[in-house]
Amino acid sequence: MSEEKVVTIDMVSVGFLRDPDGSTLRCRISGQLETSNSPGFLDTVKDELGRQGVKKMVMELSGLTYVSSTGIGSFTTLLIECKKRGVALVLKNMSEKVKSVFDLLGFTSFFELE
Amino acid sequence: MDILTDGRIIHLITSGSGDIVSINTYGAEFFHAVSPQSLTGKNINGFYANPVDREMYLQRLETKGWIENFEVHFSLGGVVYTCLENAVLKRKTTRGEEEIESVIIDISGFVDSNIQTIKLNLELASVNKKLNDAYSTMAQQEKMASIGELAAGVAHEINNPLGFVMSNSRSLHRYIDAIKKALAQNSLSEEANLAFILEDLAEILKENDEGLTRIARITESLKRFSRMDSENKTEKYRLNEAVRDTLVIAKSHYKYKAEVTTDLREIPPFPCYGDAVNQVILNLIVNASQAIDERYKEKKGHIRISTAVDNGFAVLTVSDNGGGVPESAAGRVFDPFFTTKEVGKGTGLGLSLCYDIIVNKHNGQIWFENNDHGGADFIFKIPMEQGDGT
Ligand SMILES: Nc1ncnc2c1ncn2[C@@H]1O[C@H](COP(=O)(O)OP(=O)(O)OP(=O)(O)O)[C@@H](O)[C@H]1O
Ligand SMILES: [Mg+2]
Repeated sequence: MSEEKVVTIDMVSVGFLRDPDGSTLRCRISGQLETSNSPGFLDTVKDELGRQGVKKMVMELSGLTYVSSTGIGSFTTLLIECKKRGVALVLKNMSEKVKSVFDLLGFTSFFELE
Repeated sequence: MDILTDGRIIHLITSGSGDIVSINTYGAEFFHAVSPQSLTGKNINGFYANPVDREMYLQRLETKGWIENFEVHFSLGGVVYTCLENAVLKRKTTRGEEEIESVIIDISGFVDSNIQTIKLNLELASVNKKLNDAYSTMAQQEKMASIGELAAGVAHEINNPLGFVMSNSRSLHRYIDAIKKALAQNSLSEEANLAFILEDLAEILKENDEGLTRIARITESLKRFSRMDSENKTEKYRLNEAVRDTLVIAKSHYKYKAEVTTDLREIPPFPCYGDAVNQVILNLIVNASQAIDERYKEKKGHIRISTAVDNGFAVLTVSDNGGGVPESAAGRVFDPFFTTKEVGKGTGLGLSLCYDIIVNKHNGQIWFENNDHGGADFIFKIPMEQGDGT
C-alpha cells in the first residue's frame, strides 16, 4: 500500500499508510472516538494490523478531538493485540484534550507516547 | 415518588452559559452540595474534569438540538466520575432565556470495573510477552545446544573415515620414498618390492576414495541441513532428502541404540521453512532413540521413518519401539518444559518447538499414537500449498 487508504466510521476516520517495506503501519486518526463508533474503529484497525509483516504501528492522533472511556478501551485492546503479535505501538501527537482523558482514567503509563 | 425527583439520576436545567437553574435532590447530593437551592446560580462548567467534554457537548447540542448518552467526566472532591449525559436544548422557555435540560447518570462503578479488567488484561499481556520472550530465548539456547551436540556427533562420524585416510596417507609416503630410492639407484629390483607396492597402492586409493566420499557426504548433508535460513521460506523443500541428511547428521545419536529403516514415498518439493522442519525431524529422531535407550539398555531397538503425500499434505511418521508415551504424560508432551528425562538430559522444549514450527509456522498438525510395538509414532502433516497467512 503506497496510497493512503481512508476508512470512515461514523464520526471518526482512519487513514492507513504502510512504509514501502511494509513493516511500519501508520494510522492517522481524526474525529471523535466514542462509545458508538469504537467497535467499528477497533475492527478496522485490527484488520489492517493482521496483515503480514507489520512490526510497528504508529498512530498519528493530532486530528483526534475527543475520546470516550470506550475509546480508551479500544486503544488498550489494540495495545494487547499488538503485544500478542509482537508489534510495537506508538501513539503520536496526542492533543492535550485527548491526553487528559487517558490521564483521568489512568492509562497514560501503559502507552508509548511520542 | 417521582423518577426525576427521587431517582438516582441527576436532573439538571442550566442556562446556555451553564448557570444552574434547577437541580434535583440526588443531583445536589452528587455534586456535594447541601441542598439543590445552594447550587442555583452556580456555574456547572467548574465541575467538569475535562473542559473539552463541555465544549464538545455544547457543540453537538448546538447542531442537533439534543445529545444522547454523551460521556462526560466530573471532578468532585478529587475523585473523577464518569457519567452519561442526555440533554435537549430549549430555545424559548417561559423564563425567556435559552436553557439546557439534561439527565445525567453516574456510570463510574461500571466504568471503573471495566478499567480494572482492562488494566489487568494489559498487565497479563505484558507478563505473557515476557514469558514468550523468555521462551524464545530458551528455545534459541536449546537450538544452539542441540547444534553443539550435533557438531560433536558429526565430528565423531567424520573422525572414523578420517582416521584410516590419514593412516593410508602415511603408507603412501612410505611407498613414495621406496619408489624414489629405487629410481635413484636405478634398480627396480626385488628389494623395492614394487609389485606389492603397486597392488597395495590401488587398494589404498580405493579405500581413501571411500573414506573421502563418506566425509563429503556428511559435510554435504550438514551443509544442506543448516543452510536453509529460518526467516525465509525454502521454495522447494525436499522432505525425503531432508530425512536422509538428518539421518547422516544424527547418526552418532542413534547408531548404537537403534536400527533405522525408511520408507520414503515420492513427495513433490513444497515451500516451507526448511531449517525449522529439519529441526523437527531431528528432534523426533533423537526422542525416538532416547525412548528406545530407556527401554532396552543392552539391545538395539528399531526406528522406522516413513513419508507420504495425503490429500495435499506431506506426512512424516517416526515410529519407535521404545516404551511409548504413558497415559499420565499424554496430554503434556507438547507443553514447554515438560520432560520425563533426568535433569540435564532433557529441557522439555523439543516437542513444544516442534509444535510451534508445525502448527503455528506451517498451519500443519503434529500428534502421536502409541503403536503395537510398545513404542510411539510421532506424526506431522504440513499442507504442501501454504496459504499466505502464516
Ligand atoms: N518417542 C517417544 N516415546 C516416548 N515418549 C516420548 C517420545 N518423545 C517424547 N516423549 C515424551 O515427551 C517428553 C517431552 O519431549 P520433548 O522432546 O519435548 O522433551 P525432552 O526430550 O524431554 O527434552 P529435550 O527435547 O528438550 O531435550 C519426553 O520427556 C518424553 O517423556
Ligand atoms: Mg526431545
